[in-house]
Amino acid sequence: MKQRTLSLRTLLIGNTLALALVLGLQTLFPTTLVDFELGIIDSRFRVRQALDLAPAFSEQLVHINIDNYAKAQSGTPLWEKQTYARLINNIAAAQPEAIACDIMFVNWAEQSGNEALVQAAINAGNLVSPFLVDPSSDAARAPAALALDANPRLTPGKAPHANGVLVAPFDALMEQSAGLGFVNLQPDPDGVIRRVPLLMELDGALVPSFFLQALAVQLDYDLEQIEVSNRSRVILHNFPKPDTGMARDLTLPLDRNGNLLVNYAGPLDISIYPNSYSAWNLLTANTTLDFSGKLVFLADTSTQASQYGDVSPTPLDNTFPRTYIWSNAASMLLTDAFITPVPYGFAIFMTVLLGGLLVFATWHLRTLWFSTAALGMLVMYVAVAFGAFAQGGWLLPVLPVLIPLVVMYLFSSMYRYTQLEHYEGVLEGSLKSYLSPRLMDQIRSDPDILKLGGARKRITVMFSDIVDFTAFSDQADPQEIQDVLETYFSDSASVIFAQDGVIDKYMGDGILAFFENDSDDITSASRAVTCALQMQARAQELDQHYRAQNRFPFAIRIGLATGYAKVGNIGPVEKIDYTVIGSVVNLASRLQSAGDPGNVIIDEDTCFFVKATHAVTSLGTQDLKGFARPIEAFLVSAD
Amino acid sequence: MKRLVSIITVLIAALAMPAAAQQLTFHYGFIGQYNDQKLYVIETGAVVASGAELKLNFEYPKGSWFYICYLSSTDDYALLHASVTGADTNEKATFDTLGWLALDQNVGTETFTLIASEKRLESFEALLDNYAKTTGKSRKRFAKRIARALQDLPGQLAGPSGIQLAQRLDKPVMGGVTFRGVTSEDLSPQSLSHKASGDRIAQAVFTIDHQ
Repeated sequence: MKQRTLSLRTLLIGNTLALALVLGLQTLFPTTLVDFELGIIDSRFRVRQALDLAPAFSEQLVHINIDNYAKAQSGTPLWEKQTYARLINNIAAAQPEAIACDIMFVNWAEQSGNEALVQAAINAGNLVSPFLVDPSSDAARAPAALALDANPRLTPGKAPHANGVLVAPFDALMEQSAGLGFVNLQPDPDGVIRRVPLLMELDGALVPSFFLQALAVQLDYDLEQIEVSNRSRVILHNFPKPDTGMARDLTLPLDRNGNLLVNYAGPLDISIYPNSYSAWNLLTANTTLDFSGKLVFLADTSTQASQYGDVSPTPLDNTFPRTYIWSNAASMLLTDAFITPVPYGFAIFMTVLLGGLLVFATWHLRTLWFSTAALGMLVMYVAVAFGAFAQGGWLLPVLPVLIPLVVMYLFSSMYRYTQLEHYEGVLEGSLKSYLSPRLMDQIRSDPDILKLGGARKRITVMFSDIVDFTAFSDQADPQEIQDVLETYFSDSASVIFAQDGVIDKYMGDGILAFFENDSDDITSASRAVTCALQMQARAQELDQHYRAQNRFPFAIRIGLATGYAKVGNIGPVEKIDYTVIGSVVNLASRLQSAGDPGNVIIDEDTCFFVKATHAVTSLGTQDLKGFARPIEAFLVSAD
Repeated sequence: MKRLVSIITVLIAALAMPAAAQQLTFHYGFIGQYNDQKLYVIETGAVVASGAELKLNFEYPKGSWFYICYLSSTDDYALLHASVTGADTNEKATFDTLGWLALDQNVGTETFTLIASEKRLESFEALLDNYAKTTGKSRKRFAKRIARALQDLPGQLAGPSGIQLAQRLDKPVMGGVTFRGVTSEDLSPQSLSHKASGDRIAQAVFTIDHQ
């Protein structure tokens, strides 16, 4: 379809309205497609994992897991605090920079072993303990031993706020911890943990999350150097990079709630997390380990712990130990391998950009290419989204872009379709003026007949001419000539089309028409003769009409010839005609000339097909111009 | 009528005024000694070379609690002095000294914080006690807490309190007695050169630039 059949203005306005509608709905109902979009995020993790493009887990991190093996070997699923203390002492002996103990030793009534734990914390000098903040309004106040006075001040409102503390270790352990970090995790609506909070504000103090506090202790990083502009903009000034020994300002790509998207190195697998050890190895001290410079995460990863919620679904693993979520978050800060969520404004920008291309494609391309381009655009965007995630950790919104584009594509397609229908209607209306209904039907059922070339067919050609039209033209007013011709052509066309004839062309006052046969049909001659007689009858009526007006006599001569001719689209590409070529055309013309006014003269072949149904009188052989041998002509009478 | 207005005015003024807090003042002096045995008063911020000897004298009111907290140039805290109890002696004031100290080779800024308090600063003592016990990176957390506590000493006490800036005395004193007319040559190893005051708690921060 040519572009001139489309209105660019309608396209732009329609697509803009479609875009505005979808964006408006997305804004009003932002959660409607959340689950699908989250599923697409997980797909990107899986594709990246399959392509082996996931970031490497930092070698600076170590896991000591109190796993099923450790508990089985110890002979008891419930360990005494003295056992934990011994474990911490043994870990400390391997000289890590920090021990992030993801086990909450709360203030139970049973206090035996507390002293041993405190002493272990003192001995280690780098124990990081967890606690749970409470955002509810009736939260208990933070215990003094949490020592928020050691934390940087933070203006309320700049970070997510906590009202108090839900659970914390017993006071003496908090006192002797090198730092405390909160371990609250908020899953996405589908229950999957994809992000971790970075920090919160509690009683006007900055409280870091567990992994950030652990890193701060490991790297001797002063939390005072954290700049919090707002929830989504946090800069860690002079944050050390262990592998280079250099410090840099780290602007963290946080979401609007101050969460960091976790760039998971992979599912729980020893090949992905090679520095993972069973706590039993440490307890029995049968392994000599050196954790110099490293951050050790100590946690209970046994089945028993998972029953208490220490595992969570993640994009790559349905039962992923939470301690590995923290270590994956820490690994990001150590390796600079972040997931950067692209702002929503980018989605709008991309939608407008691709929408513009879609309008361009609608305007300029034919239907097949338009659909291909639109589909290609959608596929390409999805591929770019997956590629950007796999290669650079860029998290492009997918559905917020695709859905408006699909809606725009549907609108454009519908518009094209309606315009195509309208165009076809207009075209058909125009063609009807030139082509017979028969030819129109043929074109509809077999558009190939419009191809250049044509086919050899047996047809009957009719040639008609107005008697003394030249003399009439010299005397009459041009308007009168036009009126006569319009009436004559109109009446003749009706008759020709009624007999399934095709008007090849009008030649001054003459009409060249032909009648085809369908496959094995042989009715062309019969229909042509019927048509010719009807045209003569109509001519007589016109003659009477004009004579009654004292105008002029009106008569026509008609010649018919049947034979083989080339029928189809013939001519140079600049000007193609659906016409006939062959001597039969010339014969019809000569027979017409040989007749008297009011005659219908036919050749021998035509006579052969109609003599049984029409009154035919031989006129003998005629010497016709252009024909070497005499041609026998016949006069057809109305009865 | 005038009388009634006066009474009301006085009552309002009385209610608006904070309750009068006990004024607490202590004296201290950093005394240095030249190679020729001559004494001199060390001012805060003074440059002192390694190996130099200095003596810190202090005198605080009877019944108050007195602390000297030291922050070395290597960022280590130490509690150099803590009165065992609120001294209950017949003296109006308690005089004490840290004795002659020789500066080590660790150069940098060294800070002495002298504190006199109406009440015992138990949480502050606990902080320093834990700081002394703990090891490794845990000490840093305690160090931060100690620094914050020193920045907000009135917060250690319940109720209104306040600290005024330490002042240089017109003349050095000894044992609470002013020796008018004495010269620097008359400076004694027991001299006190500065005083610090506050409501219920008083604090003086003295730094030396150890070169």
